[in-house]
Parts: sequence; C-alpha cells; structure tokens
Amino acid sequence: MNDSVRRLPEFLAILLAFIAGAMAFGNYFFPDSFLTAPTQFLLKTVILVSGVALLLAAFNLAGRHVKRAKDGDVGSILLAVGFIVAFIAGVLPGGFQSGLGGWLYHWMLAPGMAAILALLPIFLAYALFRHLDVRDLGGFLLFLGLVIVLVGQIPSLVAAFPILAAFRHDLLIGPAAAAFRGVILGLATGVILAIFLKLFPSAISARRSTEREEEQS
Amino acid sequence: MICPHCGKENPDGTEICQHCGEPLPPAGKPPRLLSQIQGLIPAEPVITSGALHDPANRVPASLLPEHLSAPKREEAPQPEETSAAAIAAGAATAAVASGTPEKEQTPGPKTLPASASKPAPPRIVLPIIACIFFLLILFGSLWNLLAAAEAPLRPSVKNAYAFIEILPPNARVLLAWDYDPATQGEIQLLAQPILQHLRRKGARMAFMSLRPFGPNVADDALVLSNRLRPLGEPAGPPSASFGFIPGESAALRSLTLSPVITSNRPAMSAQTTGLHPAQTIDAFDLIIEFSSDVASAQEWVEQTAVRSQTPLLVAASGAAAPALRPYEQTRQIGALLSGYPDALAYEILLGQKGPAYAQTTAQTLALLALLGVIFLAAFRSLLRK
Repeated sequence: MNDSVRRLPEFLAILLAFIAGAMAFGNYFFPDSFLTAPTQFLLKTVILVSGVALLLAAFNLAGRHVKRAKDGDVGSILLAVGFIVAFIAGVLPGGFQSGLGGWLYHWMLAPGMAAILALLPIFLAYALFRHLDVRDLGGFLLFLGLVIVLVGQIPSLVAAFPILAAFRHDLLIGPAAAAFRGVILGLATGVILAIFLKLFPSAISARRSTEREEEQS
Repeated sequence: MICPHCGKENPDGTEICQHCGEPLPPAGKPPRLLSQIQGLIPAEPVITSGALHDPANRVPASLLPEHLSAPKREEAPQPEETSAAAIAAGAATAAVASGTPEKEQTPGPKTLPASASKPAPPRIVLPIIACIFFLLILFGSLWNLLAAAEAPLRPSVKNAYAFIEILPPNARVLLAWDYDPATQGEIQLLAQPILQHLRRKGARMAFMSLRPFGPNVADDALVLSNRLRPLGEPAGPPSASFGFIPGESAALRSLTLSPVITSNRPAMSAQTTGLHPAQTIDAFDLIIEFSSDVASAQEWVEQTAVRSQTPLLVAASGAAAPALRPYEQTRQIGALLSGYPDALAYEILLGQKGPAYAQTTAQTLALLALLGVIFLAAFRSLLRK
C-alpha cells in the first residue's frame, strides 16, 4: 500500500480536529454567527464521546481486574463483583437515585467516601506530629502558615479578634494564590511547549543532533 | 519482574508495581536506582562489609541514596541472628558515608548510633489523635456552646445574600452540583442556607452537574432542605434537572449556547424549565456553583461567566477557596463562599438556624484540636536533638 494512502486516516483525523478547533475558536470571537450551530453540534458530539469514554474506561478497568480476579486476587474479586453490582444497579430503572442503586448510594457509597475523607485530618495531624520541624526554615514557615490559616477561620475567635481573619486573608490571597497561579502558568507553558514539540519534531531532532555534535567536538 | 522500590514480584511487562504503585523499569534494563550506583559500588550484593573495606570502592556520601547514607532512625530492632550482619552493614555504611575507612571506627555495636539501638516507640500517637478528634466532635455535637457567638460577616457573604435577595419574582436560577459524596459534609453546609433563601424568594431552580454523582448530592441537599424548612413556609416551585452532563469544559461551553440542547433529555428539560432550545444561559437570572475543587469552578468561570451576563456565585470548599479568591476580586465570580464559617454567617443573615449553626462547636473544637497537635509537634521538634 502506498505510504500516503496509509497515512490518510491520520491526516484526516488531524484535519478534522483542526477544523473543529478552528470553528470553536472562531465562535468565541463571533458568538452570534453562522458558526454557532456547527459549534454546538461539535460540542454535543464531544459530550457524547465523553460519555462513551467514561463507559470504556470503566470496562477497561473491570477487564483488567477480572483477569487478576481469576488469579485469586481478593481485592480484584471484590472490585469486579462491585463493578457488576453497580453496573446492574445503574441500568435498572431509577439508576442511582432510587431502588437498588439508591440503596447502594445512600448506604454504601456516600458513607464510605465520606468516612475515608473524614480520616484525612487525623492522618494529616499525625503526619504533622511526626514530621513537623520548626528549626528548619521550611518547617517553621509551614507551622506559621498552618496556625494563621486555622486560627483565622474559627468564627468565635475571629469575632473577638478580627485581625486574625485579616492575617489569614492576606496570607491566602498573596503568597498562596501567587504560588498556585505560578503552578498553573508553568503547566500551561509546559503544555504549549509539548504541543510545539509534537507539531515540530524535526526542529527538536535537529537541535538534539546539533547538541550531540557539540558534545562530540 | 521484581520492583526495585518494594521488592515484590510483578508479572513481566507490567509498567507500574501492583503493590506499591511505583513505576517499574522497562524489561531488559536494570532498575534506575541500581544503574545510577553501578560502577560506584559492587553490583551483587550491593552492600557488603568486605567490599566496602576496600578503599578503592569508597563512595562519596553525596552519591549514595539516602537510605544507604544513614541508618533509619525509627527502625525496629533486628532479631538476634541477623543483628551481627546488620551491625556490620551499618558500620560499613556509616564508614562509607563519613568517608573514613572502617578501621578507624570502633568495631561492634558501639559503632551504631544510639537511636538505632533503641527499640522503636509504640505507635500509639495515631489512635490517641483519632480518639481526641472523635471525643471533641462528639462533645461539640452534643453541647453546642460556641454557636451563640456572633460570626463575622465577610463582604462575600453579604454580596451573595444580596445577589439572591434582589432576584425578581419567579427568577430562574441554575444550580451546579460539582462535588462528590465525600465532601458533602462541607458543601452541604453552604448549600442549605442558599437553598432556603432561594425557596423563600420563590425562585425556579434548575439543577445540573458535571459529576456522575451530582444528581444524587443535589437530591440529598433538597431532601435536607425540605426537612429544615420552617413550618408554614411555602415549598416553592418544583425544581427541574438537566442531570449529569459529561464533557466538563466542552459541556459548559455547550451549556452556555443552549442549556436545553446540552441536557440529557432536551424535550423534558424544555418542558420542566420552560426554556426554549434557542435560549442561551442568559435566560437564567443567577448561576450558583457548588464545588469541592478548584477545577470545576474555574471551568465555570472560563467557559460560562466570561460569555454570559448572568452573575455567578460559587460556594466552594475551604481548600479550593484561596485559588478562587482572585476570580472574586476581578469580579468574574460575583461572590465566593467557602467553609463552615461562611455557612454560619449566611445562616445568621438569613435569621434561621441550620446545620452550620448546629455543627459550629464540633467544627471549632476539631480545628482547635488540630492546632493543639501542631503546637505539640512544634514543641516536640524543639526538644528533639
């Protein structure tokens, strides 16, 4: 088979993705234009694909654990049984809001998930007790930050000393928000760079070969 | 394939250890850790006192992995039959780490650090912490002492209250339930006074969620809200539901263009909400997002709030609030409520005692207990050598 024919599906997929992206992008700047209807159709398609992807992911996970369950892995057996029961409950009328699904949600899922999360502060406190070291600069800052944030959100204390809330607010708005934004910006820059690398792999390979030559010389 | 991190067996071709979750090296290649130290110390066994006696094999301490450079502080004592080997290995490792040959060290048990020879302390701290938390929360739930203290009213709470208070009669309000049952305890505290307020204003509520369990948590919140409704107060118009909509940011973009078409059952949604498929999200008078994480609320801001005239209120968990606060400052979020203090403040504004009021003492005591542990830990670290 000709190489260009073999690569046709890949090319068509990229072209389709590009057109879809360009239409959605254009619709952002021209919201009340002819682009609205096709964009809406594309977005609805994305929603449907997301639903199917969720289902595929669930079946993929179940498939892997069924294999391990056959080898006698107790955790996988429980997971596979849980998946089958949850799947049956989900497709029964009423889904997870009534009947078997509702019972599973109200008496198994919700309390289980809440109980696991409720253990978090206890483990957090234990981890702090074991590893907090105020003589270390990082540990001291952690200690200070924790105390300010926690003290600043106790209503009765803040009612008596409003400055505690102000301290907490300034700490969270200044350094904490800045750090978070820094992470997001770094992530976004990384994504842009990764796309660039994907789009122009030749530029990277050329650079690498130049670097290799420099090292050799 | 043996995991280099936990030492347990995994099937060939596995990429991630099934026991500890650490990535496994590709088949045919030595583990990364071993490949790093290969050539520096003998390959098999990795640490032998004999090999390490040779000055030619001496390794700088900075090149050794952390667990080889110093013995662990709280390791349990070894059984007697292996203690001699452990002592020899410990002495050899210590000699290598310090850069001095073992001959200069005193042989035998005396070479071990004092902490390594001590028996590990019994791990009773975790149960004690858990018991303290449990008792304080139980005590706080039984005897609500602190709720009478006036909670401070932040401007965000007043703004959120004002947004709902100025809604026109029969206003349409879209409520997004983007949290899981795990965080229900926190977010429902915020949801209750808001639902009570909306009901009091006679708003027509429409629910939707970006999470699979969103419809369930919405139902739970509505049931609790009905139970807490004061006697004689009207139940308000029935709520409509768009259900769970997968697709996250794409779903929100589509929702902005047409909530009816985006919903799972467009015909039913059009009937229950009274919306036409051609109507955009601006058909709603207010959007309220209940979120346990930053990402969901951000998606609402980025995909919906910037393209719509409808104000967006966000009720988020305390953990998500710091990252969302800048959106409130730049008015992309109309008002941001977070944590139980804001829930209590809203209940005070509403003049109605709800779950936040009932839980105030328990929440405060739990926070004070956490603070106590932090101070104890700090004190302990100062006393520690």
